[in-house]
Amino acid sequence: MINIKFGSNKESKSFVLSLFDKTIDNEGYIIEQKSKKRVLSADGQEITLEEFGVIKNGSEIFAKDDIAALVRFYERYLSDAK
Amino acid sequence: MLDLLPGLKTIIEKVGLSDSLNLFSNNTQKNNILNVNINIQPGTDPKALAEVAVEMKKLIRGSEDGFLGVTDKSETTLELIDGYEKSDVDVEQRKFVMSCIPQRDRSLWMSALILRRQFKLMGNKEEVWRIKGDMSRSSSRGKNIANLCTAGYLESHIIPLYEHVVNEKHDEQQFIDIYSMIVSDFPFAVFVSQLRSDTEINAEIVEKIETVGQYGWKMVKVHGIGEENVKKIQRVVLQVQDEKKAEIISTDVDSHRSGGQIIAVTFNLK
Repeated sequence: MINIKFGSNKESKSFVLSLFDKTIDNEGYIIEQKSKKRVLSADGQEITLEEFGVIKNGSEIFAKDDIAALVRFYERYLSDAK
Repeated sequence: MLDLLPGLKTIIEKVGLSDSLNLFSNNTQKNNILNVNINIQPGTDPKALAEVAVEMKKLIRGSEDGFLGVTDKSETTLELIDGYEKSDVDVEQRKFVMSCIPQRDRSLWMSALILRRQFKLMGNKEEVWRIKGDMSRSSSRGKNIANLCTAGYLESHIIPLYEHVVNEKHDEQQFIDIYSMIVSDFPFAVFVSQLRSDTEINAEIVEKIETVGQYGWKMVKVHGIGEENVKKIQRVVLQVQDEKKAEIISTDVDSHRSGGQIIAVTFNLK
């Protein structure tokens, strides 16, 4: 298991995204480097670099850095693991 | 996975990113855990980053147990959620929220319970403001739920409503209708600010008395902070009483250290 903790600044977030072949479009949304398609969070929403809080394996699951989104993420993916 | 680690550490050192990237393994008999801390500062050489990224990608792809990447802020919030979920605090309320509250609002209520807990603990103030900010920013619904929860309306109104309407009358739709009205219109409380006139506040108090009266509740709370607002509340509540729009049975004043005051108006509808 790899636990990655990264800074909330844009440089750290952008670097982490590059590890998963993701980048940012001109409106600040996270996109696939190749297809340029916007990625969706676990809640099915497009997600900006600023909102980006979590990434997890399993078809690359993203979550926003927002308490309610993190509660949903926790209930769905972490409550048994933690 | 771990056989790639020495090579990666060498590259990180070689390109001068030792201050931005730390890797340390924490292995137990059961698990191989690799912790990676990433903190890239503005102006970092993009070529150096690209060189490290190539090796880190190999490491991530080679991880059989997967990965979890979180920002430092999200990590703090997840730890707060984890601590709360594993505690024995609000067990009944949490059970109620996760099984009886409409699905779309469950995470907002859980967030609100965590916020309320942090308020009570007088914990990390920055974190409290961040959670409150998250809830207010996402929607007015989030803000309303945070306020309802902090003021104790889950226990005083919503749970008893469910017990009466669903458990006794078996009418889930009626519960959802009244619950939705509570969350969107905040019918038990009136908030007084300097910008609001006596007439506006008077009208809202009377309107809310009539609304909650329809559901059998007999109390509306009028909240205000600061001397001027408190005087305003007292003046307007007397007006409502004099105008006999509702029979005011009692007005209980509850003052707070913050300078806030809540006047609970108990009434009978005319």
